[in-house]
Amino acid sequence: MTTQELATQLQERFDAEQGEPDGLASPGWLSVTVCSDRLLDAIRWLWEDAGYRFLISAGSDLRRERGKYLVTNLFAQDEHGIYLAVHTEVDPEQPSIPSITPIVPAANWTERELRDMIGVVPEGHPDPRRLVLADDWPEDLYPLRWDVEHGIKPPPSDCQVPREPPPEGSSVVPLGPYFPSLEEPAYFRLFVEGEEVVGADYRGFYNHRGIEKMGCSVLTYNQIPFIAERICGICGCVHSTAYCQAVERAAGIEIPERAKYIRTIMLELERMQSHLLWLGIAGHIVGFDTVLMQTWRMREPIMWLSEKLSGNRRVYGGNIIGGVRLDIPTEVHQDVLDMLDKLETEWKALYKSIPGDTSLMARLRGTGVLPHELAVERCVVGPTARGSGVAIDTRLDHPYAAYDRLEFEKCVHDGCDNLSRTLVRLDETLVSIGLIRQALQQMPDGPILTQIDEDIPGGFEGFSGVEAPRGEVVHWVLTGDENRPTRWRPRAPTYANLQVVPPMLKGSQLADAPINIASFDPCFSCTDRMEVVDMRTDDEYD
Amino acid sequence: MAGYESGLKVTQMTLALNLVIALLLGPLMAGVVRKFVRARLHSRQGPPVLQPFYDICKLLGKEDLRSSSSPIVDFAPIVVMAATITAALLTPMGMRSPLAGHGDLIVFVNLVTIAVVGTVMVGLSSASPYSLIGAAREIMMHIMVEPVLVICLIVAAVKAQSLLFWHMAEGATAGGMSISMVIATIAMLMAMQAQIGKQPFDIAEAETEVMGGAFVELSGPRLALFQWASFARQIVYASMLAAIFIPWGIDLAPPWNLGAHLLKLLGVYVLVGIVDVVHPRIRVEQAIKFFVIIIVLSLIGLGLAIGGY
Amino acid sequence: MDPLTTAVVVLLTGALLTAFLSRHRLMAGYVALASVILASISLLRLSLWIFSHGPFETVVPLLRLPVSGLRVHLIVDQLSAVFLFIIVLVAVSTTWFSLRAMELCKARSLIRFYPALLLFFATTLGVVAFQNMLVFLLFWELMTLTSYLLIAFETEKPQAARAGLLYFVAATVATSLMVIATTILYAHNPSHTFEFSQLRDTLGTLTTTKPVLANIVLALFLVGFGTKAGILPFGFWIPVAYPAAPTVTSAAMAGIVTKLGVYGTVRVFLDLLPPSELSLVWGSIIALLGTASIVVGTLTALQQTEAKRLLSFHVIGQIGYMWLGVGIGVAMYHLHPAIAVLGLMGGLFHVVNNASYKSLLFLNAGAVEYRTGTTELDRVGGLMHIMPVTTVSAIIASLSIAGVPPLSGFTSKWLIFERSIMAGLYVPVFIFLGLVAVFISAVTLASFMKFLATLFLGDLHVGEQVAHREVPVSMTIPQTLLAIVCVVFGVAPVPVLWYLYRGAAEILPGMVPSFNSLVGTSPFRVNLTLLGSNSAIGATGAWDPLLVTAVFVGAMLFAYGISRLGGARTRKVPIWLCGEEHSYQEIMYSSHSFLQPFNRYFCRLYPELPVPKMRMPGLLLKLLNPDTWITYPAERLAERLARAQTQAGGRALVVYLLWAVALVVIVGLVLLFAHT
Repeated sequence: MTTQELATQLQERFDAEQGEPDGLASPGWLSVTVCSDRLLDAIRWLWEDAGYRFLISAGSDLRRERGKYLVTNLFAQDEHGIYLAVHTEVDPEQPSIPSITPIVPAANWTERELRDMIGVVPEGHPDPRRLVLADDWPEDLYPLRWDVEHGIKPPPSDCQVPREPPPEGSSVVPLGPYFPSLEEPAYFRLFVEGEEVVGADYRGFYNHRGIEKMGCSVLTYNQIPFIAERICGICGCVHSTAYCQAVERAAGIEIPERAKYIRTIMLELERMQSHLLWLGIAGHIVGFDTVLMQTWRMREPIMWLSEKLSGNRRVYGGNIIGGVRLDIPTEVHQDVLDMLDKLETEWKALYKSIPGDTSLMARLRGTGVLPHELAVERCVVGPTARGSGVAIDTRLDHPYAAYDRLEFEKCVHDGCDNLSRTLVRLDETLVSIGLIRQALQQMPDGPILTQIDEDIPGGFEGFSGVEAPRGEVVHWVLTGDENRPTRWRPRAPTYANLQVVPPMLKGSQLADAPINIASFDPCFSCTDRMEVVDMRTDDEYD
Repeated sequence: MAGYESGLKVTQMTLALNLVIALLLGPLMAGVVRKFVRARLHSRQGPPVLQPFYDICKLLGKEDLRSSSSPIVDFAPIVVMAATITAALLTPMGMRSPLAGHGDLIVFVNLVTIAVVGTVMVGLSSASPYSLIGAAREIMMHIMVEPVLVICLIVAAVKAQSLLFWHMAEGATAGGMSISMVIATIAMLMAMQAQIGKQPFDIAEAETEVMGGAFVELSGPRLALFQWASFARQIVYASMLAAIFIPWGIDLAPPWNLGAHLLKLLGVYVLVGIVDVVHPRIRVEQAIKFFVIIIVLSLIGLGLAIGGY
Repeated sequence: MDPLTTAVVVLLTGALLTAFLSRHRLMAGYVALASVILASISLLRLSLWIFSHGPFETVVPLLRLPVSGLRVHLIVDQLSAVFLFIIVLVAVSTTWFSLRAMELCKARSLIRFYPALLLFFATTLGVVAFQNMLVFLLFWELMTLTSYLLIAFETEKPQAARAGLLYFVAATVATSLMVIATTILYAHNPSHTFEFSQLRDTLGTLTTTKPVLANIVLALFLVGFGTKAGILPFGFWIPVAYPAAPTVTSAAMAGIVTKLGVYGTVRVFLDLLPPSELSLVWGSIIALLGTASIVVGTLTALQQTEAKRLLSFHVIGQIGYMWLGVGIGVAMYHLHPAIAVLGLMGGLFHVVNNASYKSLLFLNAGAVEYRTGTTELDRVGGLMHIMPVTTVSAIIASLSIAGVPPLSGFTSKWLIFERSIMAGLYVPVFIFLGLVAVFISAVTLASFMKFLATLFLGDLHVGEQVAHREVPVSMTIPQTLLAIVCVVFGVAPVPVLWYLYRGAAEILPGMVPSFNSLVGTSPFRVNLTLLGSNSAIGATGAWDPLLVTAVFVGAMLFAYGISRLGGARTRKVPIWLCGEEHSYQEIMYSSHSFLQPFNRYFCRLYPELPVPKMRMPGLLLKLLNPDTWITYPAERLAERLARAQTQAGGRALVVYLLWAVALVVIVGLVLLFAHT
């Protein structure tokens, strides 16, 4: 189905009005507006019949431009490579919309965030508690409204967020916020009976830094890529790439070929070092420090290479609207290829030794089971999904940068357990090595940055999805005047994946809880907010 | 009774020897293994060899943070250290131990149990869920591992027809290699790995799962005593293994028998260290299942020993 | 009047007085205590006399039965003297404890309690004092009757009545079996008496002429004594009766009744049965049953969450140890007297120690119940903050039952293990039994860690009405007394062993090695030797409690010194819960969580064994879970009996009593006519 056919379907069924195409008239992008009374039907059709995958919602305060709030629901159709935005306008006098969570369980967190940040209440939401903001943030102060100043520090209020009590016979074992096996603060409240976890509760968003507010109020278009890169310490480049691509699409800016290849190489370098980092941490969590030390040793050459290329081990600072700031000159190509060869040899040895290690297999096989149906229902992404047999990969489904010219396959395993996800990440690293080699070979000469002479016009939408090491990162941008976006909505893959962690933890062993959580490779900073997920009362999500 | 009533001088010498080995050589060997085995296999330099001593000294001066007012928490580290020292004085380390005629196999096993009990009581006396879970895991591991220790020692006892350690060591030398002793040695090595909490059996103290288990609420001098006691316990087990199950060299004249013993200790430590480095931690119920097999193995050894093999 | 009769008379007088004084509870208590103490003094004098002069014989005029021309001789030998000591110890402690503890049973008048208690003690004296089977069985049945009254004391509680009835029926059936066995022996006894000396000869003849009959006799005695002792599977009444009875009763019965079961076993299998191949067989059976008790009793105790029920299952477990020791003694006498004697001494030592620490544990439970009103492990916690004396004695008792040196429990277990290994050199099965005992020792330790942790350690958490005080002095003194016994017998075992040796040697016929050759010459150190072993020296084991304890204490001082070396300061902080706030209730790790993987694994273990693929697993599971075939059928039986009793309007009890009495009378008449 093409976007045009989709637009016609939505028009006929739900009176959807097609919005402006983005500046590049991308073939895979459609934006429609629906009235709030037809919204539920539209969503139901998309989710149940048309096979669309839910991505995220965004609430925008457009009272100055249009006199209304705008609620945008973003979907993806992976077989046809379509991204769809369904807008609904909300009257500021009655800021509420019907909740889509009863239809699409994966929308649970995002609607609660809507309420927290914009003040639009989702009617009929099964769990309308505070999600993102701190427990003592005052009610009725919605940060993403344009009249709330950036940098405001209200005095703490005394609203209490009630915590779930443990079920009969079990007691609470807190895993976090400060815990040896978590790299970032996150509060997993495990209900434990003996050595079995009978339920869990999750409170997060300790690292909420108000990045979206900054993006809409005090930063310019070209300042945002550097902030975006700092959303996460490990996968920053994907955020800056996704943002730049979204703005480029909105403004109709075509970037040079060479820049596309450079972006691809940076992204793949980042993927490799992220997976190696993850493997080390997973080893450490199961007590296998040898794996930690050796994989981080293998990772060091990538960091040295990154420093050589960009001046930094981690945060490359390479993306900018219109292209990239860093070049990869021909003199450096041989260093890159040497590093890749060495890494490949060591990686292959590691890959061979894992299935033979019985104790490691005993810890990884059969633990942390995420059934295929649950993965599909909750719209998980990345290696988490691919480890449960859900074959989605943004690089192949919705190609961007130079990926449409490179040859590779998706790495999918069916095991649905920790081992499966480990193998997916191992496979992907080998694939990344091949991708960088192809990219270096195919890279044409030429400029790396497009000159932009005019201001970027306001009122256009741009959307971009990038496959981060942890899954699909999506950024949605609504351009504005004054050289800054009106709304910038990043979504990290962990945001989607974390919602599945509580049902997965239930019934597992306490000793496996850290590795189960880690196998999702959660990046709490990326997620940018915390959500309380009730494990015990599963029935809320069914 | 004659023969093992040593003269006073010999007793004093062995007293000093056992104490030095247990208290000073214990941390030193741990440091050596940490630097030359573990760090080498990790492709890194590793901490200095004397680091365990530095840690203990540093901890002795740190603030003692109390989260529980229970007196158990005052007593337990002292009791554990005392039990370990007494067990060390019962263990033959190259030559006859100072308490050789005053305690036997069963006394030794019980002293070792006291050390475990002390750790468990400390874990139980704090209200922290991590320490309670750690203490529960410690008890479960102990229930599964202690029988292996006992059965293997009884194999040696049956072969020597005596429960006194020195007779067991002599009996093993005289008897030469026998199938039952080989089986017992293997089982004993596995039990030792679990008793001193090395991978894959680092379950009770799992840092990434329960933040140190029974020790999470300990700090300062109490933690120093526990750490020191655990180093001493490692040497005691290794000495027991070396003296009774790998008995070559005990009939040499002093100081050669001491040298042989130290060499054997080094070998045991290196072996344990290597196994520790190449394994992750397994779960407690997996360990229970594993030790059922080891118990059966050691029972087979016992059966063979009774049958005369 | 001889000291024994004095004691009995004092106790009977006390019973009468307390019956009159029953309205004034405390007065009655003091009178009971006084009579018990007076009786005890006289009994202790008797015991000491026996140990230095030999058995005490007298003819008791009151009990002369002219009808059958029997003269009843009262003979108290050294073995009985040991049990006299046990009775004295337990009687004094429990009676003292009961002064205030009976306030827990406010509803009932004490008229049925103290008289029954004192009569109970008197009947136990009768059991150990006579070497005449008929009189022995008479007192045995009277003991059952009085202890029934003690168990079913609080008749308004249905479970107490049921428990008492169950116990009574079980014990009476057991006694009837023993009566049948006695009758068989009597019929084959040419001189037609019930004296032990004569029965000894009869049994000896029977083992050679009619071995089948001899085995039947022995089996009947085994079942009979096993029921009272509490051995698996005959001891099914214990987990029903002890929790339902008042704690004082449980303490007294655990301390005395079960031990007398062991006494009876020792009498029959060692005193009456001459050494032969039969003793090897029966000794092994006794040891096997003992080991089975150890395993099942302790493993089931691991899962309990109520203190008295936990202790009851441990009674079954601990009796197993005693029977293991006795079994070794019985089996090895034919083959190797040195091993046998020490095995028997180990068993007897365990009897003595168990009497002290088991009763102490029940008294601890009683103190907890007195102060907090409950014995459920999950409902109270941290009692050490308000009940320090009880806590210390509970810790001593728990460490003693778990066999931690230098307490008394360790020494007796040490002897039993040691001998089982040495016996195993001749009869291999004993090593495995010994190993099982060692394994279960660790389980016992775990069980008592849980007991101590949930009740005494941790933070204080009791109901609001609970006073923050220790229990009254009359309850702390007996606990302290028993705790001191545990410690002293552990640290200085050699004198105790000497007395036990006298008791054991007395009943073992034939040449028994000298005390010094068995345990060495030192008064402080026990050095065991095995004569004729291959080891050059012959020494096989050693335990020097004083020296090792001294070393231990020295090491403790050293450790303390080290810990003070850095001059570290102490500071009180809250526990670390990773940064968020939590309430105490939600993080409290419950007692049934505690060993859950272990429990779960061992309940699933059996189905995982490679059994034939019939529907075995379920059956095996049921078989190996004692609750299904001991306690639940027992409770259902008790239920049915109770219903039968109430339906018959309370006459059923009388009916049973009449049946028992009738049985005895009929047997007596038969014997009478057979004699003439």
